[in-house]
Amino acid sequence: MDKQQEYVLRTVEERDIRFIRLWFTDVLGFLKSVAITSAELENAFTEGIGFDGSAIDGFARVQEADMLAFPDASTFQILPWRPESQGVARMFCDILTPDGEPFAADPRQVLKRQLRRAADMGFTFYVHPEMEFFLFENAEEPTPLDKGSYFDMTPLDVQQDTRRQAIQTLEQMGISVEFSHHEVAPSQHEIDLRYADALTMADNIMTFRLVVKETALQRGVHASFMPKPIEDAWGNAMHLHLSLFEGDTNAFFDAGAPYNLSPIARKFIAGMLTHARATAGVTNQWVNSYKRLTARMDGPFPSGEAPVFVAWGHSNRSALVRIPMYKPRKAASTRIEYRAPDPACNPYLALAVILAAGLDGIERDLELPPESEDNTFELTPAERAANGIERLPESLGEAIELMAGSDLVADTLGEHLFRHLLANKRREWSEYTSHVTRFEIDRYLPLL
Amino acid sequence: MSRRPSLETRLARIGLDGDHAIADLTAAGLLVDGELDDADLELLADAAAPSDAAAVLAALAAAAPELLREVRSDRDWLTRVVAVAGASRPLGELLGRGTDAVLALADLAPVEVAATAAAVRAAVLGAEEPGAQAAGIASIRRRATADIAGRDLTGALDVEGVARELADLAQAVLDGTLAAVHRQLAGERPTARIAVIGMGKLGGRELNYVSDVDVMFVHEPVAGAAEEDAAQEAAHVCARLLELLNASTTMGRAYEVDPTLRPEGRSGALSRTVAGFVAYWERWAKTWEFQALIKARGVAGDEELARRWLAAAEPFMWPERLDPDAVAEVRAMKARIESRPDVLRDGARQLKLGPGGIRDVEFTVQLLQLVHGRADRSLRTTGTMPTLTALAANGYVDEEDATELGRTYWSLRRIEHALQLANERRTHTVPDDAGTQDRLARSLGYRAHAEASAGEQMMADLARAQARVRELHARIFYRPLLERYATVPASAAGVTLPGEVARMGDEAAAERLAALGFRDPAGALRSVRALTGGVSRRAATVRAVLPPVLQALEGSADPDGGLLVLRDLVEAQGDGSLLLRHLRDQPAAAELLGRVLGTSRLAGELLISQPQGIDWLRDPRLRDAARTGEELARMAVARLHWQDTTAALRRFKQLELLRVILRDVDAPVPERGPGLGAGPAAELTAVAEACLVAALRAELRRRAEEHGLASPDELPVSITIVGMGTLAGGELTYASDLDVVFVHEVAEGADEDAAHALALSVAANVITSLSAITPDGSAFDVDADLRPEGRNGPLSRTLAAYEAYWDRWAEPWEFQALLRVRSVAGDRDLGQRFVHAASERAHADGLDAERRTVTRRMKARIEKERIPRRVEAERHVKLGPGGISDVEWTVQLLQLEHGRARPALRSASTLRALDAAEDEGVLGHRDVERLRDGLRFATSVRNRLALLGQREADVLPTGDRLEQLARAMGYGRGGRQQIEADWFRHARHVRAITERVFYGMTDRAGA
Repeated sequence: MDKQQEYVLRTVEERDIRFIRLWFTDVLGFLKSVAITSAELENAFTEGIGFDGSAIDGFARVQEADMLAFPDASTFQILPWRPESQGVARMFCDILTPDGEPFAADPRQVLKRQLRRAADMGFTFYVHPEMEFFLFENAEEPTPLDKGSYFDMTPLDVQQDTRRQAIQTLEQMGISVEFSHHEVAPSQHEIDLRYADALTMADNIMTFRLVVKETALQRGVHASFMPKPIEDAWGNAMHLHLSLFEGDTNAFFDAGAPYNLSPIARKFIAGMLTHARATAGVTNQWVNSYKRLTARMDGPFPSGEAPVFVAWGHSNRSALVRIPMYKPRKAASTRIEYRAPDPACNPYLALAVILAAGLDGIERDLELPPESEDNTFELTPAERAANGIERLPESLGEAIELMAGSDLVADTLGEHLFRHLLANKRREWSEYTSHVTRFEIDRYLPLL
Repeated sequence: MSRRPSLETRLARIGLDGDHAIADLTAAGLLVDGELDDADLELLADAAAPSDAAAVLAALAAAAPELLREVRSDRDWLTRVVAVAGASRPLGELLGRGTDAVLALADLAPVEVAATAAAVRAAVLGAEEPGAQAAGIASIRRRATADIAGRDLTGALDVEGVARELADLAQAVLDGTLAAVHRQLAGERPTARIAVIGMGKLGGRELNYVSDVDVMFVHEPVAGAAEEDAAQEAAHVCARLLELLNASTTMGRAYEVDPTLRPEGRSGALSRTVAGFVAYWERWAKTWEFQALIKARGVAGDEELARRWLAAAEPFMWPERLDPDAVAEVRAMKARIESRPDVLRDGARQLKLGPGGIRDVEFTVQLLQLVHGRADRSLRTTGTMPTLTALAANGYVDEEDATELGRTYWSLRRIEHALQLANERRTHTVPDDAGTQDRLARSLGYRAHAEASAGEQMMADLARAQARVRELHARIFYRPLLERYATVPASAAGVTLPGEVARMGDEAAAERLAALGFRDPAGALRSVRALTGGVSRRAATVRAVLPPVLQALEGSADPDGGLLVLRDLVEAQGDGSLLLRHLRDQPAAAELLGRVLGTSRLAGELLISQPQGIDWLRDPRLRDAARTGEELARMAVARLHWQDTTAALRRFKQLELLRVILRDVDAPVPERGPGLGAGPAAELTAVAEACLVAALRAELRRRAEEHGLASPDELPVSITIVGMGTLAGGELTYASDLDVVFVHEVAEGADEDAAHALALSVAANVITSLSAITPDGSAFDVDADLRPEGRNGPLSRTLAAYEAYWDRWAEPWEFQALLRVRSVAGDRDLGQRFVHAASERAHADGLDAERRTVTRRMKARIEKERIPRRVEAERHVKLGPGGISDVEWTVQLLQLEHGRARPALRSASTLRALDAAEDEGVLGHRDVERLRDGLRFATSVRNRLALLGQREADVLPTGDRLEQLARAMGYGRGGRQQIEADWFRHARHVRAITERVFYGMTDRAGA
């Protein structure tokens, strides 16, 4: 047993923690929890806690259902919204097979595999996400609580309180918040998390979603990360600011190069763009995700809110990959922003495929296409074709088939998880395609 | 009278360079009137490196002439000085400086612990600054090392004694240093009592010349002292002790003292109280930490405290129940160390970690100690050799084996000692160059003779010792198990019960089997009992030969199943059994048998029914002798003279099948990964062909005799067998049927109807003679259903009749089957004409849109209808997505499409057609590679499933059977996930190509 585990056991005793929730994540990114008492904790560290994997989406076939959850002591946190005495704490878990081998289809394992690959190349992967979400009256209808917009000072209201309390809770759990504000759309909020290594960040995103939802619940409102809940308002994005470090050095930084982008950074972006269409099924995994990734070329504001075309640019908000403004004397902050993902993804898998795509660019020495300086929405189809600018999949159905043909995604997720995800998503798509929408009723019923 | 050779010559003979040596010897005063005393010459000649010895004497003459005179006055003393100087450069250098190391060599007295400790203590307390203190300790340590080496090299001390004295020396140095440092830091009134616990080789009292000295520190407050004060004092004292002993000084370094085996390793406190240790053990310690404790003993400081510590540790070292994971962990750790690149690189030259090295001996002993030491306290000793002795004394290991293992162990340790002494370096690898090996060998007493240099003799002995260790490992593990049931009750047999039988209970025996990897130890024990029970001569032989077989079974796919078959196999042997003799004489045969039985039950059954096959176990040349199809056919036909056809062919097939299996199991895992090798297809095909040839020939001969004809050539009809499908392609698996069609030709002027009738009945008889199930089983399932009109059509036709059928009636899909045809038996000319005609038709029309559609529809229907409902289609390696049939149909479609214009594509072999497709530019390199790998992998799965005797050979199994398959295919631990991932990846690649190339679906975008 190591120092971390010892620390956890001591803390549990000192703080009178009665229950520990062992957290892990299913294939679609839903948080799963097994609660154990503090008495069982030691055993959990040494022998793991057995559970029935067949109950978890994508984990195992029925005949090989037994799985073991091993808590990662470095993720220990007391849950602040539980009473101080007889408190509750949580740890994220790694999932092992009964043979004691890491379970290949555990999403956390998938990300760890990819991080190990990066480490073998000498890199650490850092992430800083902008988390967007809506606060609604309830879970039945997406009714906004206000009509506020970007940087508006709304009076002290339930929304402010919810956001503030959520931030406070996050800070108590060791998750630093960089920045927060009211977003463009009514009732929409953004909280930026301070950068961390990718595994910690994926854990943090899981925690973040729970904290926000839990806080909203306590305030009597409903928080939603649904990618596009309101048809004519901007949807929820999860822009990811990404950087690779070699030791203490930012591997993306190269003083004097255009936008201070090192060759490593350029190849990494090239890899991300090459695989963007195939990885969309992971970074934007729901039918609804593609309602956000739309471009209303002829419509009025807010058309083209989200990146739809596979291009990169400097401070170009229509680009899929954006190079944020460089702050002088802050070499460490050189980073790239990937704008496709939405906050309803499985963060482990999303970060894994993004990293894999970037590393592929580095390994295969992919060349970065020229920067797109125009608003890609304003280009004609011919212009885009001439510039080799492709479009992200228009629907989940298209995304699934693009993903199905990708060796990169299959190798990254592992065959087991890959097959399961494809099957699950195909089912969802097929259910959706047979659904008759409001749009059809409104438009066709009177006419046809 | 021969003239006495010159001094130079005499010096040169013992390897001394004249000028240099004469200068050295003159300086040392050994030359009188330019002549060297014969006795002195002999003395130098005996040194491992005479020139080094001469140089040291010269240096000593310069540094301390008086001392050298004294040394020279005592012959034995001089001998020891010369021996050390010749064997060890650094110690020689120490002697040459005239230090009191020379004095230490004056007598034969062993290193005395108390006196040495006192000297160390005085040296530390007598010096002012730490550098001088450390140098003082190092100097004492090295002097004593020289002393030990002097007696070691002159035969006054045996290797065991050397190891023990080296350990005692370390103990003395630790004790003296601890006392001095404690005194320095705590003065008259210490607050802590401190003890040093020796671990590893120090604990085992089996130290090397240059070892890590593994220690832990334990302390307690003296009565009335505060715990914190004591802890602080102990921490200071231990830190200072490590500093002094590990310091590099002008006198070298005392030891490399390593305290990292302590709780929490590097990050833990240097010293703890007994209670602190217990708290740690109770909560945090890992299994291997307890195993490390087994070698622990108090070596310095407070003895009572050390005893208390040991008493507290004992329950943790020997828990009630043996944790099977603990054994697995020990094995895994050993495997990890052994697969380190440097260890692999040095191979047999690595004395400690290489195959059959010192670690193997220690591991064997440690594992047995772990298994049996819980129940039997007498086994709880710290040293490897005392433990081995105890194991033997109490019947867990055969006395003779133990003695031999001990002897071999020490012979390895002697080489290790000499190696380390040479440069005072901690090394375990014998250098690669002959010069150094020679010098090493000389210091061990080897001398060159006519056949071999000293170094060569040593290396040969080393190789023998290593081979012996590997052999003994298996013997030692299994022999007591096997001897257990050797005697009927003592009273009945009137013999005395050997100790080991009395000692090892069923439970201990079962535990040992479980530790070895048998899933059902009770069942395994029953098999062992059945195999070895009783007093018969055979049982005695079995006990002697089984160990390596069982050891090979341990690591195989199905140890338990293999042991059951082994039991049947042995029971089928007579008293003078060839099998048992081979196994006794050939360890490699025993090893192969174990692996084969653990991979293929069928092979075991075949060995029972085909005892001739036992020869192949023994002799790899017999087993591996290449056999052409013609040779096989000749062998099969030859059998027809002396046996009834049906039985003869069955035995021939089974015997050859056994050979193919042995070769298949013996083949290494392909470098590119499990399942990607060529497999047994070609050999199986050759055997099948030979059977067809022989069956047809026998039938024709019989008919000729019936008709009173001298030769089958005079029959009114000639017949050919054409292979189709995998038989034609040379790609048979263990589970394949033989797809054939028969063609005949009526002799000119013969009665057509009679000739037809004859052909039909010959064909029917050939099929029966191979397919029918008799007491000998069946040879092959011969299937002629691919003929025109299938089962309703006549079994044989003339070529003209085939052509007429093809041209008038055949459906387009029937031509697809004609892509894979090859004449395999009978009239070759007729066969060639048939193949040519068939191939012409297959490629006549190319592939028009309609035919393409029909072909696609047919394949789609097969996918839908032929996979049994209860089977998950994705796991069906033959018909499922990405399976064998995807590759075959895709290739066939390309053949239909391009074969007319590109004859190179017209191969009955799917793999060869794939190569051609790439060469002809019909298919890209990556596609070809993926289809080939997918086909090979799926085929390999089928073959290994068939060998394992699993009924569903086309479906990737789940659970334990999947783990078995993974093992059988050469995957390591946890192979279950890996084999599944590999299959799904191959299948995904193959399916994507099939969808694009065969079904013409638009390619999915993306990379």
